[in-house]
Amino acid sequence: MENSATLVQELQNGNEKAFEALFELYKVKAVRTAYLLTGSRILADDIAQEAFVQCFLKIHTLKDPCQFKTWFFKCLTRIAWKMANKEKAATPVENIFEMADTNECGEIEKDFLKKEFSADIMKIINTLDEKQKTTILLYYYNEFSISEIAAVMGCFEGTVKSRLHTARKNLKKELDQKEAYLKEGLNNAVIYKF
Amino acid sequence: MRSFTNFDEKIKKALTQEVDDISPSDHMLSNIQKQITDRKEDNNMKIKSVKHSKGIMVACAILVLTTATCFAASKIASISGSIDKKLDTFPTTKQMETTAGFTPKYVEEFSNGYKFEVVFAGTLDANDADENKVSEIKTADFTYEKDGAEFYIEAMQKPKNASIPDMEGELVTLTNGQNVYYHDWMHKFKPADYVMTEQDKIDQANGTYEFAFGEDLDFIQHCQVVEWEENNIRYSVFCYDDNLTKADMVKISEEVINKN
Repeated sequence: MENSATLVQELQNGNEKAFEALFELYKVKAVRTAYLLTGSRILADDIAQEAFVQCFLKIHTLKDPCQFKTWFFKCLTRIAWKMANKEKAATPVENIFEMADTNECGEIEKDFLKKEFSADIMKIINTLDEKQKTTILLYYYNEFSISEIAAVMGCFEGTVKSRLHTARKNLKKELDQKEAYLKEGLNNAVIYKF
Repeated sequence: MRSFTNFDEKIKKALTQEVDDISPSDHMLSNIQKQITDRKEDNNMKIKSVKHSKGIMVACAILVLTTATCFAASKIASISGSIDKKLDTFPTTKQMETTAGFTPKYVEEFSNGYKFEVVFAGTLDANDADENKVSEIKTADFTYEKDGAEFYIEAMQKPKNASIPDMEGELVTLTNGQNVYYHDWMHKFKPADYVMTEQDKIDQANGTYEFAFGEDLDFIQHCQVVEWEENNIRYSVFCYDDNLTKADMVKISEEVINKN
Protein backbone atom coordinates (compact mmCIF):
# COMPACT_ATOMS: atom_id res chain seq x y z
CA MET A 1 0.00 0.00 0.00
CA GLU A 2 3.06 2.25 -0.02
CA ASN A 3 2.52 3.53 -3.58
CA SER A 4 -1.10 4.43 -3.04
CA ALA A 5 -0.23 8.16 -2.86
CA THR A 6 0.85 8.10 -6.50
CA LEU A 7 -2.28 6.23 -7.51
CA VAL A 8 -4.44 8.68 -5.60
CA GLN A 9 -2.84 11.60 -7.41
CA GLU A 10 -3.42 9.88 -10.75
CA LEU A 11 -7.04 9.23 -9.86
CA GLN A 12 -7.50 12.84 -8.80
CA ASN A 13 -6.13 13.80 -12.20
CA GLY A 14 -8.81 11.70 -13.86
CA ASN A 15 -7.01 8.40 -14.47
CA GLU A 16 -9.70 5.86 -13.61
CA LYS A 17 -7.29 2.96 -14.07
CA ALA A 18 -5.59 4.18 -10.93
CA PHE A 19 -8.81 3.43 -9.06
CA GLU A 20 -8.69 -0.19 -10.18
CA ALA A 21 -5.13 -0.40 -8.91
CA LEU A 22 -6.16 1.10 -5.56
CA PHE A 23 -9.00 -1.38 -5.38
CA GLU A 24 -6.59 -4.28 -5.90
CA LEU A 25 -4.31 -2.93 -3.17
CA TYR A 26 -7.02 -2.50 -0.57
CA LYS A 27 -9.80 -4.91 -1.39
CA VAL A 28 -8.79 -7.81 0.81
CA LYS A 29 -8.06 -5.72 3.89
CA ALA A 30 -11.25 -3.74 3.28
CA VAL A 31 -13.52 -6.79 3.17
CA ARG A 32 -11.78 -8.49 6.07
CA THR A 33 -11.83 -5.39 8.25
CA ALA A 34 -15.51 -4.91 7.46
CA TYR A 35 -16.15 -8.53 8.42
CA LEU A 36 -14.30 -8.16 11.70
CA LEU A 37 -16.26 -5.03 12.51
CA THR A 38 -19.67 -6.52 11.80
CA GLY A 39 -19.32 -10.29 11.95
CA SER A 40 -21.41 -10.52 8.80
CA ARG A 41 -20.04 -11.84 5.52
CA ILE A 42 -22.82 -10.25 3.52
CA LEU A 43 -22.47 -6.88 5.19
CA ALA A 44 -18.70 -7.04 4.72
CA ASP A 45 -19.05 -7.03 0.95
CA ASP A 46 -21.66 -4.26 1.02
CA ILE A 47 -19.52 -2.15 3.33
CA ALA A 48 -16.35 -2.58 1.30
CA GLN A 49 -18.20 -1.80 -1.93
CA GLU A 50 -19.77 1.33 -0.48
CA ALA A 51 -16.40 2.46 0.87
CA PHE A 52 -14.81 2.12 -2.57
CA VAL A 53 -17.71 3.91 -4.25
CA GLN A 54 -17.46 6.80 -1.82
CA CYS A 55 -13.68 6.78 -2.21
CA PHE A 56 -14.02 7.25 -5.97
CA LEU A 57 -16.70 9.91 -5.80
CA LYS A 58 -15.01 11.94 -3.07
CA ILE A 59 -11.35 11.44 -3.94
CA HIS A 60 -11.06 15.09 -4.88
CA THR A 61 -11.72 16.01 -1.23
CA LEU A 62 -8.56 14.23 -0.04
CA LYS A 63 -6.00 17.00 0.32
CA ASP A 64 -2.96 14.84 1.10
CA PRO A 65 -2.71 11.66 -1.02
CA CYS A 66 -0.28 10.21 1.53
CA GLN A 67 -3.19 10.02 3.99
CA PHE A 68 -5.26 7.79 1.73
CA LYS A 69 -5.02 4.73 3.96
CA THR A 70 -6.45 6.43 7.07
CA TRP A 71 -8.94 8.37 4.95
CA PHE A 72 -10.22 5.22 3.31
CA PHE A 73 -10.50 3.23 6.53
CA LYS A 74 -12.17 6.15 8.25
CA CYS A 75 -14.81 6.00 5.56
CA LEU A 76 -15.05 2.23 5.83
CA THR A 77 -15.43 2.16 9.62
CA ARG A 78 -18.15 4.84 9.49
CA ILE A 79 -20.07 2.81 6.95
CA ALA A 80 -19.55 -0.37 8.97
CA TRP A 81 -20.85 1.23 12.17
CA LYS A 82 -23.88 2.57 10.38
CA MET A 83 -24.72 -0.67 8.62
CA ALA A 84 -24.03 -2.84 11.66
CA ASN A 85 -26.29 -0.72 13.83
CA LYS A 86 -28.94 -0.86 11.18
CA GLU A 87 -28.76 -4.59 10.62
CA LYS A 88 -27.84 -5.61 14.19
CA ALA A 89 -25.86 -8.42 12.66
CA ALA A 90 -25.26 -11.43 14.89
CA THR A 91 -21.72 -12.63 15.39
CA PRO A 92 -21.30 -15.82 13.39
CA VAL A 93 -20.20 -18.84 15.35
CA GLU A 94 -17.80 -20.94 13.34
CA ASN A 95 -18.48 -24.60 13.23
CA ILE A 96 -15.25 -25.68 14.81
CA PHE A 97 -15.87 -29.33 14.09
CA GLU A 98 -15.68 -28.57 10.34
CA MET A 99 -12.25 -27.08 10.76
CA ALA A 100 -10.71 -30.28 12.11
CA ASP A 101 -8.85 -32.02 9.31
CA THR A 102 -6.91 -34.90 10.85
CA ASN A 103 -7.97 -38.41 11.65
CA GLU A 104 -6.01 -38.57 14.84
CA CYS A 105 -8.44 -38.40 17.74
CA GLY A 106 -6.04 -36.50 19.95
CA GLU A 107 -4.95 -34.15 17.15
CA ILE A 108 -8.57 -33.35 16.37
CA GLU A 109 -9.20 -32.53 19.95
CA LYS A 110 -5.99 -30.47 20.27
CA ASP A 111 -6.77 -28.61 17.08
CA PHE A 112 -10.31 -28.09 18.25
CA LEU A 113 -9.18 -26.63 21.53
CA LYS A 114 -6.64 -24.30 19.89
CA LYS A 115 -9.17 -23.05 17.38
CA GLU A 116 -11.77 -22.72 20.03
CA PHE A 117 -9.27 -20.57 21.86
CA SER A 118 -9.04 -18.20 18.90
CA ALA A 119 -12.80 -18.32 18.56
CA ASP A 120 -13.08 -17.39 22.22
CA ILE A 121 -10.83 -14.40 21.65
CA MET A 122 -13.15 -13.34 18.86
CA LYS A 123 -16.16 -13.78 21.09
CA ILE A 124 -14.56 -11.59 23.72
CA ILE A 125 -13.61 -8.97 21.12
CA ASN A 126 -17.18 -8.99 19.88
CA THR A 127 -18.47 -8.17 23.35
CA LEU A 128 -16.43 -4.95 23.45
CA ASP A 129 -18.21 -1.72 22.69
CA GLU A 130 -18.04 -0.47 19.13
CA LYS A 131 -15.21 1.99 19.70
CA GLN A 132 -13.03 -0.39 21.72
CA LYS A 133 -13.58 -3.17 19.25
CA THR A 134 -12.68 -0.93 16.32
CA THR A 135 -9.55 0.20 18.16
CA ILE A 136 -8.49 -3.41 18.75
CA LEU A 137 -9.11 -4.38 15.14
CA LEU A 138 -7.26 -1.42 13.70
CA TYR A 139 -4.35 -1.93 16.09
CA TYR A 140 -3.89 -5.67 15.85
CA TYR A 141 -5.30 -6.68 12.50
CA ASN A 142 -4.65 -3.58 10.41
CA GLU A 143 -1.50 -2.71 12.42
CA PHE A 144 -2.30 0.99 12.41
CA SER A 145 -0.29 3.28 14.64
CA ILE A 146 -1.98 5.16 17.50
CA SER A 147 -1.99 8.36 15.45
CA GLU A 148 -3.45 6.54 12.44
CA ILE A 149 -6.19 5.04 14.59
CA ALA A 150 -6.93 8.49 16.00
CA ALA A 151 -7.26 9.82 12.44
CA VAL A 152 -9.54 6.97 11.40
CA MET A 153 -11.77 7.24 14.44
CA GLY A 154 -11.76 11.00 14.66
CA CYS A 155 -10.53 11.18 18.25
CA PHE A 156 -7.45 12.16 20.22
CA GLU A 157 -4.47 9.85 20.52
CA GLY A 158 -5.00 9.78 24.27
CA THR A 159 -8.49 8.42 23.71
CA VAL A 160 -7.11 5.69 21.48
CA LYS A 161 -4.56 4.71 24.10
CA SER A 162 -7.22 4.65 26.78
CA ARG A 163 -9.54 2.46 24.72
CA LEU A 164 -6.68 0.16 23.77
CA HIS A 165 -5.58 -0.17 27.37
CA THR A 166 -9.10 -0.96 28.62
CA ALA A 167 -9.79 -3.40 25.82
CA ARG A 168 -6.48 -5.21 26.32
CA LYS A 169 -7.10 -5.43 30.03
CA ASN A 170 -10.51 -7.01 29.47
CA LEU A 171 -9.16 -9.34 26.83
CA LYS A 172 -6.21 -10.42 28.95
CA LYS A 173 -8.42 -11.21 31.89
CA GLU A 174 -10.66 -13.40 29.76
CA LEU A 175 -7.72 -14.90 27.89
CA ASP A 176 -5.96 -15.94 31.08
CA GLN A 177 -9.05 -17.78 32.17
CA LYS A 178 -9.44 -19.47 28.79
CA GLU A 179 -5.76 -20.35 28.61
CA ALA A 180 -6.00 -22.12 31.93
CA TYR A 181 -8.95 -24.07 30.53
CA LEU A 182 -7.02 -24.85 27.36
CA LYS A 183 -4.09 -26.26 29.29
CA GLU A 184 -6.43 -28.46 31.21
CA GLY A 185 -8.03 -29.58 27.97
CA LEU A 186 -4.68 -30.40 26.34
CA ASN A 187 -3.64 -32.40 29.33
CA ASN A 188 -6.83 -34.36 29.03
CA ALA A 189 -6.12 -34.90 25.31
CA VAL A 190 -2.76 -36.43 26.19
CA ILE A 191 -4.41 -38.75 28.67
CA TYR A 192 -6.98 -39.91 26.13
CA LYS A 193 -4.67 -40.30 23.10
CA PHE A 194 -4.22 -43.88 21.92
CA MET B 1 7.36 -3.86 11.86
CA ARG B 2 5.67 -3.65 15.24
CA SER B 3 6.92 -6.17 17.80
CA PHE B 4 4.12 -7.81 19.72
CA THR B 5 4.24 -9.51 23.05
CA ASN B 6 3.03 -13.08 23.25
CA PHE B 7 -0.33 -11.78 24.39
CA ASP B 8 -0.56 -9.39 21.49
CA GLU B 9 0.41 -12.16 19.10
CA LYS B 10 -2.50 -14.27 20.27
CA ILE B 11 -4.93 -11.47 19.54
CA LYS B 12 -3.44 -10.85 16.14
CA LYS B 13 -3.48 -14.55 15.35
CA ALA B 14 -7.11 -14.88 16.39
CA LEU B 15 -8.11 -11.96 14.18
CA THR B 16 -6.09 -13.23 11.24
CA GLN B 17 -7.54 -16.73 11.56
CA GLU B 18 -11.04 -15.31 11.78
CA VAL B 19 -10.75 -13.77 8.32
CA ASP B 20 -8.39 -16.25 6.74
CA ASP B 21 -11.00 -17.54 4.32
CA ILE B 22 -12.71 -14.20 3.68
CA SER B 23 -12.04 -12.87 0.20
CA PRO B 24 -13.67 -10.20 -1.92
CA SER B 25 -16.23 -11.56 -4.35
CA ASP B 26 -15.16 -11.90 -7.98
CA HIS B 27 -17.75 -9.35 -9.07
CA MET B 28 -16.91 -6.72 -6.48
CA LEU B 29 -15.07 -4.36 -8.82
CA SER B 30 -17.76 -4.50 -11.49
CA ASN B 31 -20.44 -3.93 -8.81
CA ILE B 32 -18.52 -0.92 -7.57
CA GLN B 33 -18.10 0.49 -11.08
CA LYS B 34 -21.82 0.10 -11.73
CA GLN B 35 -22.69 1.86 -8.50
CA ILE B 36 -20.32 4.69 -9.37
CA THR B 37 -21.99 5.10 -12.76
CA ASP B 38 -25.44 5.06 -11.15
CA ARG B 39 -24.44 7.60 -8.50
CA LYS B 40 -22.90 9.89 -11.09
CA GLU B 41 -26.15 9.81 -13.04
CA ASP B 42 -28.09 10.50 -9.84
CA ASN B 43 -25.79 13.41 -9.03
CA ASN B 44 -26.19 14.75 -12.54
CA MET B 45 -29.94 14.49 -12.14
CA LYS B 46 -29.73 16.30 -8.81
CA ILE B 47 -27.63 19.02 -10.36
CA LYS B 48 -29.97 19.14 -13.32
CA SER B 49 -32.92 19.48 -11.02
CA VAL B 50 -31.09 22.13 -9.04
CA LYS B 51 -30.17 23.88 -12.27
CA HIS B 52 -33.58 23.30 -13.67
CA SER B 53 -35.14 25.03 -10.78
CA LYS B 54 -32.19 27.36 -10.46
CA GLY B 55 -33.96 29.79 -12.70
CA ILE B 56 -36.70 29.88 -10.11
CA MET B 57 -34.22 29.85 -7.25
CA VAL B 58 -32.24 32.67 -8.76
CA ALA B 59 -35.33 34.61 -9.71
CA CYS B 60 -36.80 34.06 -6.28
CA ALA B 61 -33.52 35.01 -4.65
CA ILE B 62 -33.49 38.20 -6.67
CA LEU B 63 -37.08 38.86 -5.68
CA VAL B 64 -36.39 38.22 -2.03
CA LEU B 65 -33.07 40.02 -1.90
CA THR B 66 -34.42 43.15 -3.46
CA THR B 67 -37.73 43.14 -1.61
CA ALA B 68 -36.89 46.04 0.60
CA THR B 69 -36.17 48.49 -2.19
CA CYS B 70 -38.36 47.41 -5.04
CA PHE B 71 -41.80 46.49 -3.90
CA ALA B 72 -44.39 49.19 -4.11
CA ALA B 73 -47.78 47.79 -3.24
CA SER B 74 -46.70 45.04 -0.85
CA LYS B 75 -43.51 44.07 0.84
CA ILE B 76 -42.72 40.53 -0.28
CA ALA B 77 -40.47 38.84 2.24
CA SER B 78 -40.45 35.29 0.90
CA ILE B 79 -41.52 33.01 -1.88
CA SER B 80 -42.98 29.57 -1.22
CA GLY B 81 -44.42 26.73 -3.25
CA SER B 82 -43.04 24.42 -5.87
CA ILE B 83 -42.89 24.12 -9.60
CA ASP B 84 -44.02 20.56 -9.91
CA LYS B 85 -46.36 20.20 -12.86
CA LYS B 86 -44.42 18.63 -15.66
CA LEU B 87 -44.92 18.24 -19.37
CA ASP B 88 -42.26 16.31 -21.23
CA THR B 89 -43.79 16.50 -24.65
CA PHE B 90 -44.00 19.83 -26.41
CA PRO B 91 -47.29 21.29 -25.12
CA THR B 92 -50.10 22.75 -27.12
CA THR B 93 -51.32 26.18 -26.18
CA LYS B 94 -54.28 24.64 -24.42
CA GLN B 95 -52.08 22.27 -22.43
CA MET B 96 -49.88 25.17 -21.44
CA GLU B 97 -52.85 27.20 -20.28
CA THR B 98 -54.21 24.28 -18.28
CA THR B 99 -50.88 23.40 -16.71
CA ALA B 100 -49.33 26.80 -16.07
CA GLY B 101 -52.44 28.95 -15.81
CA PHE B 102 -51.10 31.31 -18.46
CA THR B 103 -49.69 31.09 -21.99
CA PRO B 104 -46.21 32.47 -22.54
CA LYS B 105 -44.45 32.38 -25.87
CA TYR B 106 -42.34 29.25 -26.31
CA VAL B 107 -40.42 27.51 -29.07
CA GLU B 108 -40.08 23.82 -29.90
CA GLU B 109 -36.66 24.02 -31.57
CA PHE B 110 -34.19 26.85 -31.96
CA SER B 111 -32.07 27.56 -35.02
CA ASN B 112 -28.96 26.59 -33.02
CA GLY B 113 -30.27 23.02 -32.72
CA TYR B 114 -31.44 23.10 -29.10
CA LYS B 115 -34.78 21.30 -28.72
CA PHE B 116 -37.53 21.33 -26.16
CA GLU B 117 -36.97 18.72 -23.46
CA VAL B 118 -39.41 19.43 -20.63
CA VAL B 119 -41.40 22.21 -19.01
CA PHE B 120 -42.19 22.54 -15.31
CA ALA B 121 -44.98 24.86 -14.28
CA GLY B 122 -46.56 25.98 -11.08
CA THR B 123 -47.73 28.84 -8.95
CA LEU B 124 -45.57 30.33 -6.24
CA ASP B 125 -46.96 32.26 -3.29
CA ALA B 126 -45.37 35.59 -2.55
CA ASN B 127 -45.58 36.20 1.20
CA ASP B 128 -45.09 39.18 3.45
CA ALA B 129 -42.94 39.19 6.58
CA ASP B 130 -45.76 37.60 8.58
CA GLU B 131 -45.99 34.80 6.03
CA ASN B 132 -49.29 36.11 4.73
CA LYS B 133 -49.74 35.50 1.06
CA VAL B 134 -49.89 38.81 -0.77
CA SER B 135 -49.71 37.64 -4.35
CA GLU B 136 -49.20 34.72 -6.67
CA ILE B 137 -46.54 34.24 -9.25
CA LYS B 138 -47.34 31.87 -12.10
CA THR B 139 -44.25 30.48 -13.75
CA ALA B 140 -43.24 28.05 -16.51
CA ASP B 141 -39.68 26.76 -16.66
CA PHE B 142 -38.56 25.33 -20.02
CA THR B 143 -35.51 23.15 -20.57
CA TYR B 144 -33.82 22.94 -23.96
CA GLU B 145 -31.21 20.37 -24.82
CA LYS B 146 -28.60 19.63 -27.48
CA ASP B 147 -25.91 16.94 -27.26
CA GLY B 148 -26.24 16.79 -23.50
CA ALA B 149 -25.94 20.55 -23.00
CA GLU B 150 -28.89 22.53 -21.67
CA PHE B 151 -30.24 25.99 -21.16
CA TYR B 152 -33.46 27.16 -19.55
CA ILE B 153 -36.15 29.72 -20.26
CA GLU B 154 -38.27 30.92 -17.39
CA ALA B 155 -41.50 32.67 -18.12
CA MET B 156 -42.97 34.42 -15.07
CA GLN B 157 -46.34 36.12 -15.07
CA LYS B 158 -45.81 39.32 -13.14
CA PRO B 159 -47.68 39.29 -9.83
CA LYS B 160 -50.68 41.43 -9.06
CA ASN B 161 -50.51 43.80 -6.12
CA ALA B 162 -46.75 43.56 -6.03
CA SER B 163 -43.88 44.48 -8.26
CA ILE B 164 -40.79 42.50 -9.13
CA PRO B 165 -37.29 43.95 -9.39
CA ASP B 166 -36.31 45.86 -12.47
CA MET B 167 -34.26 44.05 -15.04
CA GLU B 168 -30.59 44.83 -14.79
CA GLY B 169 -27.41 44.38 -16.76
CA GLU B 170 -26.21 45.38 -20.17
CA LEU B 171 -28.91 46.70 -22.49
CA VAL B 172 -28.91 44.97 -25.88
CA THR B 173 -31.16 46.16 -28.68
CA LEU B 174 -32.41 43.48 -31.05
CA THR B 175 -32.84 43.90 -34.79
CA ASN B 176 -36.57 44.43 -34.29
CA GLY B 177 -35.93 47.25 -31.84
CA GLN B 178 -36.86 45.24 -28.74
CA ASN B 179 -34.55 45.69 -25.76
CA VAL B 180 -33.23 42.81 -23.70
CA TYR B 181 -30.90 42.85 -20.72
CA TYR B 182 -27.83 40.63 -20.31
CA HIS B 183 -25.92 40.03 -17.13
CA ASP B 184 -23.74 37.34 -15.66
CA TRP B 185 -22.29 36.41 -12.27
CA MET B 186 -20.43 33.68 -10.44
CA HIS B 187 -22.60 31.46 -8.25
CA LYS B 188 -21.11 29.33 -5.45
CA PHE B 189 -23.12 26.25 -4.52
CA LYS B 190 -22.26 24.82 -1.14
CA PRO B 191 -23.54 21.96 1.07
CA ALA B 192 -26.53 22.65 3.25
CA ASP B 193 -24.41 22.68 6.42
CA TYR B 194 -21.66 24.88 4.99
CA VAL B 195 -20.62 27.79 7.20
CA MET B 196 -19.67 30.88 5.24
CA THR B 197 -16.14 32.12 5.84
CA GLU B 198 -15.25 35.78 6.31
CA GLN B 199 -13.97 35.83 2.73
CA ASP B 200 -17.28 34.36 1.55
CA LYS B 201 -19.14 37.18 3.27
CA ILE B 202 -16.88 39.76 1.67
CA ASP B 203 -17.33 38.13 -1.73
CA GLN B 204 -21.09 38.11 -1.31
CA ALA B 205 -21.19 41.72 -0.20
CA ASN B 206 -19.11 42.99 -3.11
CA GLY B 207 -20.92 40.83 -5.66
CA THR B 208 -18.02 38.54 -6.51
CA TYR B 209 -20.18 35.51 -5.75
CA GLU B 210 -23.81 34.74 -5.16
CA PHE B 211 -24.35 31.79 -2.79
CA ALA B 212 -26.78 28.92 -2.73
CA PHE B 213 -26.87 25.94 -0.35
CA GLY B 214 -28.15 22.42 -0.79
CA GLU B 215 -27.39 18.79 -0.16
CA ASP B 216 -24.33 17.46 -1.98
CA LEU B 217 -23.62 20.78 -3.67
CA ASP B 218 -20.09 22.01 -3.86
CA PHE B 219 -19.20 23.82 -7.05
CA ILE B 220 -18.85 27.23 -8.62
CA GLN B 221 -20.72 28.15 -11.73
CA HIS B 222 -20.73 30.95 -14.20
CA CYS B 223 -24.37 32.04 -14.63
CA GLN B 224 -25.69 34.09 -17.52
CA VAL B 225 -29.16 35.50 -18.05
CA VAL B 226 -30.92 37.45 -20.77
CA GLU B 227 -34.24 39.06 -19.77
CA TRP B 228 -37.09 40.97 -21.34
CA GLU B 229 -40.77 41.60 -20.73
CA GLU B 230 -43.75 41.24 -22.99
CA ASN B 231 -47.49 41.23 -22.25
CA ASN B 232 -46.97 41.26 -18.49
CA ILE B 233 -44.63 38.26 -18.62
CA ARG B 234 -40.98 38.40 -17.56
CA TYR B 235 -38.85 36.07 -19.70
CA SER B 236 -35.38 34.95 -18.57
CA VAL B 237 -32.99 32.78 -20.58
CA PHE B 238 -30.55 31.08 -18.20
CA CYS B 239 -27.28 29.35 -19.07
CA TYR B 240 -25.06 27.74 -16.42
CA ASP B 241 -22.43 25.73 -18.23
CA ASP B 242 -21.01 28.28 -20.65
CA ASN B 243 -22.41 26.22 -23.49
CA LEU B 244 -23.86 29.45 -24.87
CA THR B 245 -22.24 32.82 -25.49
CA LYS B 246 -23.94 36.14 -24.88
CA ALA B 247 -24.61 36.38 -28.61
CA ASP B 248 -26.19 32.91 -28.61
CA MET B 249 -28.47 33.85 -25.75
CA VAL B 250 -29.50 37.11 -27.37
CA LYS B 251 -30.35 35.18 -30.58
CA ILE B 252 -32.48 32.77 -28.54
CA SER B 253 -34.39 35.66 -26.99
CA GLU B 254 -34.98 37.07 -30.45
CA GLU B 255 -36.46 33.79 -31.69
CA VAL B 256 -38.85 33.62 -28.72
CA ILE B 257 -39.90 37.25 -29.19
CA ASN B 258 -40.52 36.65 -32.90
CA LYS B 259 -42.59 33.53 -32.24
CA ASN B 260 -46.16 33.96 -33.40
